[in-house]
Amino acid sequence: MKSNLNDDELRKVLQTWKVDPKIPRNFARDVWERIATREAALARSRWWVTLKELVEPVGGARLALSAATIGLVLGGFTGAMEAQQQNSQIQKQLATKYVRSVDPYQQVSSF
Amino acid sequence: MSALSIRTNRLAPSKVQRWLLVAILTGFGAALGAFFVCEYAATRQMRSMMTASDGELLWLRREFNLTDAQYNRIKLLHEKYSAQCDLMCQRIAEVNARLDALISANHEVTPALASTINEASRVQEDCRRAMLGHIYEVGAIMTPSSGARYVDMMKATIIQPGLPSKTVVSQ
Repeated sequence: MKSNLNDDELRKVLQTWKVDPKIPRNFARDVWERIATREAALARSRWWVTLKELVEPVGGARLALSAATIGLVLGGFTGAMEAQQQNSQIQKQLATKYVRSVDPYQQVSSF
Repeated sequence: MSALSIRTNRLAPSKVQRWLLVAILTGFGAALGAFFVCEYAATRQMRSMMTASDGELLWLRREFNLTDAQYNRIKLLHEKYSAQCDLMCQRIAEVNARLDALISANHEVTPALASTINEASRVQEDCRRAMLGHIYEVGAIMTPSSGARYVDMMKATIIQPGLPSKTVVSQ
């Protein structure tokens, strides 16, 4: 854009130009709050994206089926281990009972 | 504008969330179910042995892989020995009570106390002899290797009658 003003005139005009910006109250705080909210949302969305990337290709039904299979295997294994411990304890108790049934001194001491 | 962009960045509860919840619940339920079914099924036999009146003999049968014939013979022997054992218990209790009273009543080894001590030793000898006889008889019914293992397990009872059963078993 061409202007008819020369440099001196332009400088004078510029010197008379006063800007009086009205900054809203709590401007800085609002800005920081918006930044924090956006960062939190971004972090959350990243987590979700990763999760979706993991879940979506497998499919919901397959995921549930896999979880059930893993649950069955882990539960069965843990149950078998627990049963083994219980059986071992019962065996010891029965062996103790047998020895006591043969030894009269133990029977007397248990009266 | 910024508020709008923030809102669009957030992912609303979706199918992924629902399926994840379903998967977690299914997995947890399956694990819990499998745990209890396996535990119940695997301990059923031992628990029934524990509540049976002749559980200790059933344990012996299982522990030493006894055949039906071996088990029946051992059961008969055990019943016969149990009657003998009750009599020995009675003798032990009587001599112990006498010894207890004499020890409390005296401050030195009197002839009566010495005689009771000798009687207690005789009772112990008789008990040991009877126990060892029974153990040998039971061991002889088993296969040689099982019999040897059985006698070995019961050895501590003969060496030290009245030794806590747990100690005997762990040996």
